[in-house]
Amino acid sequence: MGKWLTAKNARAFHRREIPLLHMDELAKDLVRFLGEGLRVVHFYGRAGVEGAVTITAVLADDTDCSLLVSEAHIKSVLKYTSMTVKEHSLHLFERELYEQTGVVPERHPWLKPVRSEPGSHAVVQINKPPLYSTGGPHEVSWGPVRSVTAESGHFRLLCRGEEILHIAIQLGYQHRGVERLFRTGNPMNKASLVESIAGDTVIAHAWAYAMAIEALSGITLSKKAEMMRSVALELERIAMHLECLSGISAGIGFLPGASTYGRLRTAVIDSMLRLSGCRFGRGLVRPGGVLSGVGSGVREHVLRVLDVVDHDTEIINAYLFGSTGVLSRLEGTGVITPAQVWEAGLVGIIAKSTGLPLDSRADQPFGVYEKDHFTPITVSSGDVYARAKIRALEIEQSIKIIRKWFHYGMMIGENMMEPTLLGAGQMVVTMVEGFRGEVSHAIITGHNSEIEYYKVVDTSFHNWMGLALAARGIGISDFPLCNESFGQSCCGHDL
Amino acid sequence: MVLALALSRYFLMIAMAFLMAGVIVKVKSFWAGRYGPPVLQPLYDVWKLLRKGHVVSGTTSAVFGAAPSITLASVLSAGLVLPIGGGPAVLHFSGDFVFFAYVLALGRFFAVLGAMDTGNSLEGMGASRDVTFSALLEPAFFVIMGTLSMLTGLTSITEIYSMAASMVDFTILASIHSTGSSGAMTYIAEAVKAWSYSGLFVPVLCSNIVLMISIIVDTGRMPVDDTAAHDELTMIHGVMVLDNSGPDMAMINVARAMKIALMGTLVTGLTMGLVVPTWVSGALCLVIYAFIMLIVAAAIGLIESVTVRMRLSRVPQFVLGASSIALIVLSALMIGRS
Repeated sequence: MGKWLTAKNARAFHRREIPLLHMDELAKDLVRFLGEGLRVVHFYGRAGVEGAVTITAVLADDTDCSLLVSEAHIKSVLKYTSMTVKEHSLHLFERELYEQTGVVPERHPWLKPVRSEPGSHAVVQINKPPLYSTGGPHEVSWGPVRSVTAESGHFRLLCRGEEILHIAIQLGYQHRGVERLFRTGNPMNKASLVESIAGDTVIAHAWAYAMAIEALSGITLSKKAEMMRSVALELERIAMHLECLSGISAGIGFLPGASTYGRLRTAVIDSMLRLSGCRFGRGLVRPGGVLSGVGSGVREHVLRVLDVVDHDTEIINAYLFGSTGVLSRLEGTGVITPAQVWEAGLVGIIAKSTGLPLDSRADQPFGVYEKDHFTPITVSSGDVYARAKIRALEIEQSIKIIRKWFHYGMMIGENMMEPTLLGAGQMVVTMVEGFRGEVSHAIITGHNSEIEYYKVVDTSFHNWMGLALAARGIGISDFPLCNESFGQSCCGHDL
Repeated sequence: MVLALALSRYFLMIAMAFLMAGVIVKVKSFWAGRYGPPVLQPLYDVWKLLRKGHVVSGTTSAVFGAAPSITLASVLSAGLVLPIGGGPAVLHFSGDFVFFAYVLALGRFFAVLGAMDTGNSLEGMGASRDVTFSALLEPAFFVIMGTLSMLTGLTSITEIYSMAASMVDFTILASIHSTGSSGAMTYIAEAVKAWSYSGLFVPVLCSNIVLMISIIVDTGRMPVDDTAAHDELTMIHGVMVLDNSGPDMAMINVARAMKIALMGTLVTGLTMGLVVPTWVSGALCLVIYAFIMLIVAAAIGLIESVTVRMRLSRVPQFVLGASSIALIVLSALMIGRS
């Protein structure tokens, strides 16, 4: 077994500290580590000199809150033996690697495109599906243009009658080249770009970006700024969970839920407007701190809104989770088992709904969560009910956390620290727990402090496969409900 | 003159169709805490669609173009045999309830063909669901009409309804006369007594339940189908018309609204037979008819608001429930006769 560098979330380290392994060794170690219960956070390649490709793997060891980093070079013959066959959670990472660098993971089951990258290597593969030989299932194609509120994504439902056998999910329609854009221009000015990765995960992505820049330039934030970010992150979580519950209610035609959760979500994002000047939290988190502080007026306002949300969600939750009609739709629909979560490498809310407490706030703590120990909530049934219930419970939890922080009275210090030049030849990995789950950014700087490589992994990148697994065996008409309960982002995946 | 009156009642039913569609949405909005669109919005929508152009997919044949017109025509023709507001129908002949059911089925047949004609896998899926559920629903309607036909000894909807009304009315008048008292409570008490004497109360109540279930299934209302759903995969009726636009869509909208009014008229006719004495005049009858139709619409809106969409695999049980209610009434009646 090769050497692996032990790093921490949001702690920069020098590139020369990263051990360089042989690709076969890296692959062997990866499979071993994943088998031991570590999770893959990043696995990507970047083009080096003379056609060589450097492959970087970052694993999360949740037992001692650390990250393991290692690299390998591939020269001349751009291929290696695919690990996906042994560790299924790597399937999408290997596809992405192939698409972006041309390195062929041999014996990968299906190297179809991840996104519609121009000049992609993978395009030819899309018509070579490995699993359509199941006796000619009936296909229902859904998307990429879907109903008003949904993002673009194509779902090929392989069905037998009304029963779904599997879903081939094809994304990439919203690919904007985010990672490429990071490598141009001033790295300090990328906040607007990072806030556009996924419009519903603004705070989480902006924080992951800002935290990476701060780690590279060695700034320590004031308590006040950290607190503001945490409050905004939890507000975002509350708002988006409410949105998802509203969607689930609408999906089964439960009108009181659809309207009440929708109304409460508006109240919450309106308080985000007071906080940051934007209902979606844009323009709050910047490298060095936050752009606006919170006065006592805003604090009172947020607390008041949360009181309303707390009071009203209690009533509507009791109605939703107490109604037999609702429960008959939610319970037992789209079940995911903990074993499948490990196998497919699912994280965040989906893992928590099967009883696995995967939460970066606890496993890879950052910001306020480093001092303020956080315990994730879990629900064990893994069905649509669990995914709805965990959201309702997390709303309660986040409200409690925000109340607690606002009563700490630690709102002192500067909003912004002056950012300095980024450290040259360094790397940093940051993980932030967005409302879906972990959001991870990795930055590698060159010799002149420029950003040499920027990598973004959104929660949805890990979790889309979970939807395909959950949908196996359910009725076609239950699929949209299942999809709603996952609440995945297409643009977060597509970058 | 009789025909002119019948036709004017027929047009009242068409007007009620739009009003009912609006009222349903209004009730749902109220329940969700919103104001909702104006009551006449369905009419505005049809007007809007009529003025639009329409897009026709290159893969479709003439069937797709003809389907909406045939569906609308079938619904409008089926309405001709319905007695509206106590008066006779525009057309009535013996066995016209069979005409009613199968003219509607013809319309559905073409709607299904139109959906399949597009070659869209989603529309085919919707068509398959629609056909399954309506096939399960068909026995319920016939058993109910058969029961009423057995009760009255007649086979035309108009005759069955007027006979049912007169059966109750005689007994009400007789019983009020014999007690010699008046007042609303006495009236209701006597009416209930009269209903039980006439032997119509249970069959009519059950028929109304079955017909209400028919409305829900046939017009794609909750808990069977959700008209507000936006995911094609869950829909039954909504997904069958994905390719229709402009005037074709307007016709489909009118046909849908009309279907509620048709079944609503059947419910209203039976209910009026129970509660309205035959000596109430024609104009007042029409007011009562309109009023009960609106109550039916409000009831559908209420059911839509308080129920949650059923899992699709459970829908057949619900639909078969209607047939079993109908069968129970029929067998009870046959046992009573023997």
